Amino acid sequence: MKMNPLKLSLFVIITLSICMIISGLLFYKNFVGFLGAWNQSNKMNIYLKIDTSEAERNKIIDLLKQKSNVVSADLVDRNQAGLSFQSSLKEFSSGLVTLDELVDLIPESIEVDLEPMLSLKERDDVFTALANEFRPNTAIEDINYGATWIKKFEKIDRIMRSVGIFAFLIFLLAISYLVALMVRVYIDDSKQEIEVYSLIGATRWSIYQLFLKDIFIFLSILSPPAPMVNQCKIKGNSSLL
Amino acid sequence: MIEFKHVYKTYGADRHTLKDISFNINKGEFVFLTGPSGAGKTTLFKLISAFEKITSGEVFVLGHSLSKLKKGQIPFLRRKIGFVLQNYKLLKNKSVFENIELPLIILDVDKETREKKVSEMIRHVGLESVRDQYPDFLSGGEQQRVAIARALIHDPEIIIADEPTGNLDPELSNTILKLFYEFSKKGMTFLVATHDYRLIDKTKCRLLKVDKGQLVEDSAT
Repeated sequence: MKMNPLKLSLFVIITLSICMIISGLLFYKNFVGFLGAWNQSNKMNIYLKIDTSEAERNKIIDLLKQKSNVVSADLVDRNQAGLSFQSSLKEFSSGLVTLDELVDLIPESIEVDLEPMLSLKERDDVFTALANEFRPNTAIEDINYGATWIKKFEKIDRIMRSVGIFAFLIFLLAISYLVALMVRVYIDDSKQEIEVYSLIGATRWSIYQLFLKDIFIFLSILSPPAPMVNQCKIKGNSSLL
Repeated sequence: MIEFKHVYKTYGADRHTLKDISFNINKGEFVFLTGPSGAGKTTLFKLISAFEKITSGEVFVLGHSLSKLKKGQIPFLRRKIGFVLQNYKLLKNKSVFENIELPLIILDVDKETREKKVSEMIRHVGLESVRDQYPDFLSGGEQQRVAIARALIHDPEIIIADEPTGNLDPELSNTILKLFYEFSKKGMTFLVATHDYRLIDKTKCRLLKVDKGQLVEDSAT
């Protein structure tokens, strides 16, 4: 493909559009995580009683994993919890409490995470339902899911999502129009080429072949981002983003 | 080689561009086609090259009846015709060499032969100094010579030229005409549309004159 300015512009516009759409989707999918960056938890923690057996613990985890919208239910043992607590309070309480003392104080817990596409309202509903269902369980000491935090950010989340969807649709329309316009100009520009080729006796297929190369290159820009969009949730602890 | 039998070409309901045109051009003949603008010369060329369909009558090109020719066969017929058009129709993103080379690529000629033939043709039409230039950087005369070279490169049986000397000075026009004659002697048939009567008078070749869509003069008859 010879890169004339027109082809180059089309190439740049399509690539930039794809980058912007992916950035938007990435932000949208990780919005709850971004809010979590303000050191707020958006996961549910189920604290187990000290004397909970392994069988009971596993039963609860299995039950949680079967629930819709639950993407993970992981055990946080006392050591892990103690280390995490110690490191988060390092600046204030270094040396005040030893790890062994912390381990005695902190119970085992199960950390539950939900689908990233849920809005804060939906997260609140799912967490509340889960809490109501599991609280009567005798092996569970307490359930915490940052209800106050969720309430606090619910409105922002709703506004951001509405504005985001609206802006995304406008952007998508603008991009589609721009790309359609560029493709039109490109086709007009290619008409002369097609005329010359038909004049010298090129068959329809050999004319198609000339443009197939270009189409293949444009499609190859478009195809890799498509599956990426589905995988664009940022991994890791959202509170440490 | 080219035969028109009572050919009519109509656009829309009643706009006759060509009316009852009949003539016959034999192999190796050099024929001028003349007439005022809008007389139907370009339509006539479009019919010969199968870019347009006739409304009625019969056109035979290289023994093929164009009304019976299938769509898929048209490109193969065009490969036997060389076209020189007034607006040159050169590809701007290809160099002089690449533009002249195109018909040979379509004909699947191997690279070595292409290189040899195109270089020879470039020398023949005096474009050695601009061999690797792009059309936008050439003068009108040079662009015309590239178009002529591209039309002649694959030794077609017929050359159709629409005002090939229209943008050239008299000296260059003579050079082009000499080049055409040279190829005509090899057996190529030439049908050249021109307004340049000096050229027609000088050569004493057969003249077809069209006016208002009708053939008003055929010097052969």
